[in-house]
Amino acid sequence: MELLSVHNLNKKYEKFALKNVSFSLEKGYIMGFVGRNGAGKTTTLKTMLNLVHADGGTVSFLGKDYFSDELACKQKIGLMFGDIFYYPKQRLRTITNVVKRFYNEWDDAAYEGYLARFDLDPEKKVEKLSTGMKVKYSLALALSHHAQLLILDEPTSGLDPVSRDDMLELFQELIEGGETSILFSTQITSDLEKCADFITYIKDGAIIASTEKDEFLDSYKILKGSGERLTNDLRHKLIGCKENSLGFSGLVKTTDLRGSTGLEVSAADIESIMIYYEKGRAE
Amino acid sequence: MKDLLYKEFRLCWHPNMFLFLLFGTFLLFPGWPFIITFFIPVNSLFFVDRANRDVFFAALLPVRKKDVVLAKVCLVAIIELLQIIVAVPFAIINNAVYLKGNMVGMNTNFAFFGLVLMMYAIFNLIFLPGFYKTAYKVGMPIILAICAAAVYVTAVDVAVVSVPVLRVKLDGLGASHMAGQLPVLLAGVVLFALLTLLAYRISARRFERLDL
Repeated sequence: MELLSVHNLNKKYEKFALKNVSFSLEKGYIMGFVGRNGAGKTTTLKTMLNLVHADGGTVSFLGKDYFSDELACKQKIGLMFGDIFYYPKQRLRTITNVVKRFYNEWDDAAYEGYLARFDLDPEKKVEKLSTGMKVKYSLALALSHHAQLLILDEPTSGLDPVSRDDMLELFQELIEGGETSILFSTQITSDLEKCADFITYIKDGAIIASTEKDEFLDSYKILKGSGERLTNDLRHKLIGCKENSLGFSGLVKTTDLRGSTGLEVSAADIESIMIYYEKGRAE
Repeated sequence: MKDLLYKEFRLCWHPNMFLFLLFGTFLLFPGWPFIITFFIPVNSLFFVDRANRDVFFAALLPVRKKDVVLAKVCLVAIIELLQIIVAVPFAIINNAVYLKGNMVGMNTNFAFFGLVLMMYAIFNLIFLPGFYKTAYKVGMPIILAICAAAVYVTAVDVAVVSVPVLRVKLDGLGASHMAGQLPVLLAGVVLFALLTLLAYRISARRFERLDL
């Protein structure tokens, strides 16, 4: 069942614009939202949530129009924005006592459970927590009001590899019941390979692809060959290309693969897809 | 709304506030323009809020944006009124101890507190909508609001002390002057309420339109 659907979201700034951003996410899945710095990941998330006013487009959540039913939708969404942490001088207990009042379905038992599980001391001040602990605290808050959708902006940035791995395992556990979905943005492509079911890739404010991870990976191939094999026709098909004295390597859509006999074809990973896309064609 | 006010007091009210409220005790010192005491403002509240990312925190909660602004405006008004309440007993003591009254500025009588309320009204009307234009820049709106309040305070203080009619009516101490001074206090209360409400309306409209 469809949980979230974003359709033709537009937002124009002086030097940047979101262009017809569309994607959707079903219940019980993890979607990775990837793109380089400044590609529009955070702006998309903020615009979806009406923190930034969209110039056009619709967002529906659990079948409701988000923009006209914002407060009800927010009851069911858990939010975390990157490295923004609030009230560094306050104790976790104090902040929780405030936050819980705003949610109809706040569950004290669940909250206590997450505190124990994440090894969080409610008497500690926010400023005394490590980045990983802060992220976990934000998650504990989001999960304790039984959010059906977690929207996490770069939850893994600033975490060491071990904490990151823990976090990704946790994400997978959270969706196991089939009720909760996670939309998280990241620049760390290995995170996506480990735990995302769907990938949405944004570049310069426009969505390049939004699809199942395997389908996404299958739809691109890396081609390698000597310099003289790089014909104009082939060059035109390449999404991105690197050349050196030994030859070239480039990214091509699997559907454009015909006619490239004699070239070395290999599978593409998310990182190389992103890099070739961002580099573009060498002229 | 009740929950947002709870949030304001639990997360935004900081211990320094008690210190600022105690500036009311300065009314004990004789012979200086008392009205300056009330300049110790709610400014620090907004600087600390900014460091705490308070606006963004509130924006993520399932609440209406205009209620976020209303809760903040209520906290500001409460701090301002508390400052006056704390100052009143010290004004009474001052008047009882220094029988000659204040030689430099206005005496602390009913009219004085009415004029202080009007000063707050001006401050709120300039500062709050100025802040909610960006919900981030605190400095410039504060400077503008303090300048406006300072011009008002200076004008009022000078006028009351130097214009004979005003001096007789508004600077006098004791119950015999009450009839002339109570309307000024009442006008202060009304203006404070109206202009702060107007400040809230403009601020809420601006905050609603803002991209965070």
